[in-house]
Amino acid sequence: MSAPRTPTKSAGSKSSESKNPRESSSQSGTPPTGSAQRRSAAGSQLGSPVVRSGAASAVSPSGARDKLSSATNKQNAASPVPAPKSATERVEVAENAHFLPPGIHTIFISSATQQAMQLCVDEDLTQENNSKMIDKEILLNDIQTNGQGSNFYEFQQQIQSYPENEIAIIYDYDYYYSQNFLICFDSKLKKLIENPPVTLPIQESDEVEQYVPPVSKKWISLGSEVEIENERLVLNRPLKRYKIKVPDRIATTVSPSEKFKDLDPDIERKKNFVRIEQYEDKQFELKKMELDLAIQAAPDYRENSAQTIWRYPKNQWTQYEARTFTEEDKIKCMGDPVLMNMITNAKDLFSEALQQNIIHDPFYLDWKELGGNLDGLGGPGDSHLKEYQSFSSIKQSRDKIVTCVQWHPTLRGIIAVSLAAGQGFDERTDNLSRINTSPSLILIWSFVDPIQPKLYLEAPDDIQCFQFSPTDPHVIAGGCINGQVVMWDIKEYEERIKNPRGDHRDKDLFIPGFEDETFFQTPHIRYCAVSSIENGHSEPITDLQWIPDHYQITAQGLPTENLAMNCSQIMTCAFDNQVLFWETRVPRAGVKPLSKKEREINHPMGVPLTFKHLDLIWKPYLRVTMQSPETGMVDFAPRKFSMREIQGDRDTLNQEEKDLFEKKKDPSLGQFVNPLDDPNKSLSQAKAKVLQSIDTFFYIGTEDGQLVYQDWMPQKDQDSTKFSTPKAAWSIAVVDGPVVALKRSPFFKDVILVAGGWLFQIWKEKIHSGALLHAAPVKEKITDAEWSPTRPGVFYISKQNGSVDIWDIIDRTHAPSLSQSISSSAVTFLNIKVISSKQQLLAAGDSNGTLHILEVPWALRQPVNQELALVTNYLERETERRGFVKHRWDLREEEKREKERLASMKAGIAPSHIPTQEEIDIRMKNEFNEFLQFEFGVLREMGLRDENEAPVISSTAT
Amino acid sequence: MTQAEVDDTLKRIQEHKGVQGYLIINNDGIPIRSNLDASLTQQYAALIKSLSDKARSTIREIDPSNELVFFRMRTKKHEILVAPEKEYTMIVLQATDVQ
Repeated sequence: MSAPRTPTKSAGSKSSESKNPRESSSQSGTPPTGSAQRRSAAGSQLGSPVVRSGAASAVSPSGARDKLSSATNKQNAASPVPAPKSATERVEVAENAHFLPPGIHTIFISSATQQAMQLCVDEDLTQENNSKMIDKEILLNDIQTNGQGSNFYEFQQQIQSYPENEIAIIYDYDYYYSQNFLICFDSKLKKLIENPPVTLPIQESDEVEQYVPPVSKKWISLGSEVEIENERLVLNRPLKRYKIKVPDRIATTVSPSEKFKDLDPDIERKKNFVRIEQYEDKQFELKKMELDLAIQAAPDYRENSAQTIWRYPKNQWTQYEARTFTEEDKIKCMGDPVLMNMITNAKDLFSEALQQNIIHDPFYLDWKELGGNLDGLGGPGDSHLKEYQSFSSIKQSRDKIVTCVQWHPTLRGIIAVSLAAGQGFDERTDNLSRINTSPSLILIWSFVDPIQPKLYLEAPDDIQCFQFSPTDPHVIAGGCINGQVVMWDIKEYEERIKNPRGDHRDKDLFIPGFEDETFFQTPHIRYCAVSSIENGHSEPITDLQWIPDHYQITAQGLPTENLAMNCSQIMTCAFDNQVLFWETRVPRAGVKPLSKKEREINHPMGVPLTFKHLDLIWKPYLRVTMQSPETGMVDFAPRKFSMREIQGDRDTLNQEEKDLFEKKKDPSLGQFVNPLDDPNKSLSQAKAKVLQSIDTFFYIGTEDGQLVYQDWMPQKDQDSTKFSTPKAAWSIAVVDGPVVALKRSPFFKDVILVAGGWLFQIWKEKIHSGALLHAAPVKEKITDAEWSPTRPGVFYISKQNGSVDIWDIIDRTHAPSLSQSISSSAVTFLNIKVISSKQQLLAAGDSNGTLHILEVPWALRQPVNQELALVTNYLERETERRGFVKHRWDLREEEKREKERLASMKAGIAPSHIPTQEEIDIRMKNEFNEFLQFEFGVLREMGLRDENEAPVISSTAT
Repeated sequence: MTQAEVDDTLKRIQEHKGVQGYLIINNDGIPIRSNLDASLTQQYAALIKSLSDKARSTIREIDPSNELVFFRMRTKKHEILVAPEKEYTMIVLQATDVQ
């Protein structure tokens, strides 16, 4: 504690003087604590830090405001109510007056005036009780009597204007504000002085200090005694006793040799003798009053452990069996009258509901059945073919015509086009001597790159027709204009075709200057094999088809099972009156497999060896020679042919075989295994069954516009006993020009579209009395025809003037529903492909060597409601009509004959033949025999007769 | 009603056009009589039973004096007719595309 600071006092100011004599004596330069001295020394004191009463310090905030509030505090403390017990000795500074609130002024009141107004310091006013209310009148009187001498003179104005009667005079006990009194001219402050705020914490602290003797109450148990009981230490074991032994000082240290002897005190008094007086030791009078004891409970050392076994989560399942009744229970239940009652009740409900459902379908939506959604792009309103893409090679397409267009069977957006010189026969013969430098090519285009073809397939001569193998899409067979059959294998380039990156011109692959130019160029692929010239066709091959994979044709023309289950046989036709069958597999007693070394040698120009065994020695194994129906007429020159069986349609196989087919369709299929690699896979079809259901008849369209129905199976000639092709079963001239298209409907295997010249017709197989649909000749020459793959009633006819007619036999049969111009030059070939359920593309090649890809609009690919049924009905109706026509023909024939007979009879030219009785008998007998046979037939059909119960037909011989 | 008559009734229901099958189940969903195959019977019995219970409670909730007698469910493939009674429930399946 620093010297100038005075200690806080808890007692009144009067006692403070004598409180601490030591302190007051030690203080220097500080006024004595007595009130009289303080007053005399007022104003000249140096300030010491204000130390306020402990009570006051609790409420006042810190900082500059401290002082102001301390002043009010002081006033508060001076108010009579709280009777503060503590006061602070202060040493004020004159500047403190600045902190006075407005309305309060310092004033010096002399002791005479004090006495007159009963304001005597320490008598009427004390530090605690430091304010007094003085009447305004008294003050004014004082001013009047004393004039300028009056202490209140300077405040005359304020006193007079003060609204209330009493003015508060505050005694400034420690001259904090430099005078001994303060006068208040603010009525609000006055009220505050009169009634200091009771909420002041100083009062709280006072209350705390007031001692209220506790009143004893009756103890109520609230359960705490249990806690206490619990807390109590109970000895449950004997206390531990420890004996701590400190070893005694070793007795041996006391020398045993020590000898004691008697001394005479008188003699050696000064030397060794000390007398200790008896005295009372006060220590023993101390009574033990207090004792510090400490007990610490030391727990026994104990080790405990607990462990729970964690069972890892396990999958649990339950299995239950449905509850069932035994047969007896069921029978019992069935006999339950409740059940019977239920059935009786429900019977009518059920019948009603069931009948309702049969009679009328309330959920049938006419609108939904109306056919398709009518909104969206390419809706029915738009039925035009849209140009999708077009391919034209600047170099190769020049002066060429498109002869054939084929879609890749498996890869999307890949299309192959064969180009040929668009020369007539005369031109060709003229140019025959010239060396044709540009090779004949098949171009394989990808939709991603319309500039450059993916592949060029080189052919020995112009290709008229070609086809991808349906089961091995990398094998292509083509028919040449020189009569050779050409085979390609593009397996090695499959990646290139598949590669979606358009042009392989990814420059990043190469260091500049080191580009592999050949890499960017489209590779030219040489054919693998060509057929032998002398054994093949002698005329341009006009049509080529792979025989479907579900059967094969033997050298005898018998259709048998195809155990290999991939396409290996090819059928071709040419103008040389022949249809040839070719086998691509190695014959059983074929070439010996080459060794690896030999193969490497025999690999010129990187040609794959797939068909090495065929090259130049390939011969057809079956020939169908078309003879003229009558001697003296021109032989049939086949141009197009059509088989009944189509790839992928396995209806002729029985279920078992079909399943086998599906099973064998393993992913490795589509790999045309080099027969040299796999000799086991060569022709081993001896076990193959003959398929009776496959029709060996096929249709041929000829150069002269005839339609020929021909059996490919050779028959034994009766004269020469040699096998040769039978004569055509039927033939008729149908169109007025070479047949350009002979297409079977994808929906009806027996419906054929024949087109040629300026005509096209629809025929039905085995209905040879006439065409089902015979359209009027069109104005332009027809170049090709194609059925829609999704709409049974729609087909496309391409024409010489570059337009395509779209026929819809549901819409109308006398005229095309739509005719659309596609190219400026003649459209030469049509091929349609279903890309997806939402896209169908029509490829049309023209005579400028350009391939147009057209998108088939919604209306032309989405079948109308029940279209198939409608078209079937139409075809059936037409077939019936044909039957009726034929019937009428027969009738007319008969009528005509009858007429002629009658006419000749009348004329008497012919001998009138009057049948004799004998003749009549014979005729009647014949009729009776006929009846008997008919009857037998009927009865046998009904199962009433046996085969061997045939009726005895009496001889009709005369 | 005799046992024979019950059989007769069931046969008559069965002979309606498009009827694919019927089954009679008891209150616990145990099939008593059915002409569907075993697994299908179990499924129908268990599933339709819970559905019909739900339907019945719905009707009861709305009006406690009411009672579910019969309900039909139209599906894409067939219509399921259900007649729930106190003790037994009868279910009939009818193909919708009868035509």
